Amino acid sequence: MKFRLIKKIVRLIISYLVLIAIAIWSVLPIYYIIMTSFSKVGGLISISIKTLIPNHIYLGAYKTLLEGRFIPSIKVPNFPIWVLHSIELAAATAVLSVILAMLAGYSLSRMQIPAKQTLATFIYIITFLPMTATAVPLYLLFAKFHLLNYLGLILAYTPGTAVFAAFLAKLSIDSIPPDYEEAAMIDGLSRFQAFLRIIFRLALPVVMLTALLGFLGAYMDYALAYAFIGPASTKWTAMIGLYYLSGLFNYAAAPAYNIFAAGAVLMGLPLMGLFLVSQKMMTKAYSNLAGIK
Amino acid sequence: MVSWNTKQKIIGFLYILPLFIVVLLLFLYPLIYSVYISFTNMAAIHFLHFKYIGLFNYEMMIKDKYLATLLINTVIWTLGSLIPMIALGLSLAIILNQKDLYGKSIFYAILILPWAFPGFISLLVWQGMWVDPYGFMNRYLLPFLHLPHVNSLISVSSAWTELIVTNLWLSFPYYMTVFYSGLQSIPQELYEIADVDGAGPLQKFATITFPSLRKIIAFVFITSFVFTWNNFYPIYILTGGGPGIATETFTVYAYQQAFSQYNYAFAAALSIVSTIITVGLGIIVLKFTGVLENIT
Repeated sequence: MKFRLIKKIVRLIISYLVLIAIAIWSVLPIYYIIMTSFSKVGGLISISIKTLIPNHIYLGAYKTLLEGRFIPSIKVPNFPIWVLHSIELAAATAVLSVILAMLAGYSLSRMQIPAKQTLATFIYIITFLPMTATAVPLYLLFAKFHLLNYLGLILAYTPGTAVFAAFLAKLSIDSIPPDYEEAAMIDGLSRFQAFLRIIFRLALPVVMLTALLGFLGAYMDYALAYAFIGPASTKWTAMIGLYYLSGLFNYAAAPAYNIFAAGAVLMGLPLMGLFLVSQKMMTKAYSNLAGIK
Repeated sequence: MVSWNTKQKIIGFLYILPLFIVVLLLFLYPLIYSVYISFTNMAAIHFLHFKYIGLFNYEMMIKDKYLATLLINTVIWTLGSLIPMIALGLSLAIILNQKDLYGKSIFYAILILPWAFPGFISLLVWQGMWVDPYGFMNRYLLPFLHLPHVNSLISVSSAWTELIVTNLWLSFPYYMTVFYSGLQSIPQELYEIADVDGAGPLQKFATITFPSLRKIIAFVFITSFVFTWNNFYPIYILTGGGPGIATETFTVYAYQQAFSQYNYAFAAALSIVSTIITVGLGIIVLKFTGVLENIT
């Protein structure tokens, strides 16, 4: 009996030690960048253990981030305008993805095409493609049609989210009885009005999830945005801006490191919140759909 | 007179038409165009006057050893990332699943932070931490743990260490979450019966835990294999494929060939080869495991 108790204590001590070690490792980089953003650190070389001790809160880096004009050719504060560009791109992608996915999901659900398997297979295959398999030809095609701009980026972001979301929308609309729209149509609504007023409302969770996925996908992109509009710093997005601030384009010419840290925190924490929300919605959507099936 | 049914079918078709057109124009057509340009000499200098050169890009890939190098690198990157991720994710899930452990939800909430923090930004932060000699890792953490310096600019093994450790940090919470929810669906009675029979922890793992999780592990391994194979940002940001091309994978090298070297045709050829390999692997895996039934 005593032997069993010792075994249990040893097991729990080891468990806690592992959990604590991994928890410290998990938090460390995030804590480090938050503390750096509240410091006066100018370069990587001046980050020290003292930086990580929270006895100072210096907000200068945030002020410079929000007001600074790091690239003289841009006539307004740089970082806010880059964030604005990202929000515009992401919002447009979200709206377009929702429209396409809901229309397609409605059609797939009500037409009773055996499309579930086909769509699932298609989504599965899309995930197999390296990003460059479509990014390179899209760049070349868009260069021809003068689409190496925001419109082109929105067009490039949309298909991925829309196809995946159409699949989710189909499953969700399956659970809405067709009687609802038919009753509305007898009351004089057209099919499209019924779709807008009834299906959109009843499938709202999937609409929100699609919008969130489309928004995050576009907001977090660097690779395509840099390929399409890379040299034009007036058109940069928040992620290209952060890449520049981190000193990866040119370390010597980048602004102070605490400004990058402030940008990383200011972008990172809200996006982390959005991610956790979308994760929760995703789990809920999946378990709901599984329950219906 | 068109019947009501036919009319409804046409209307139904109209609803799916927009997505169909978008996928056709922005996904399938570019993909076919990609195959086409891989047979040409399209690059910055021939942007408008490129011509058909047959299999030259593919021959060059084999003859100049790009294919072999990239293949080896991509396999090292994929398996080197996946094995530690699955091991750590599964271990943490098993630790968290002990019923006499207090504070599970607090630990879980902390441990998923690396997954929740935007990966692109985390990578920029990690890049600064790895800089040798004055980044945080090389100045404080590695000496504190009595570990050698990591300099990805000059040493290939350092570069892989940096990539794999960072990728582990980014991804282990995902594996932990998936395995944790898998473990919670195993009935506790099975373990109690095993306890009565006097089974040790290893025996319980081998006869209860592992067989119950086999399907989840297979699913996670396959989807993550392809994801990691194509994963772009960690390598692009941390090592840029260096030193030399020692840590280049297909996707990163193709991106750099296209958008830094303006060598579009070669980039297209690299993407096609990588696609063929992953789709080939995917089909084999589909045949053997029936993963698709799990997803749908």
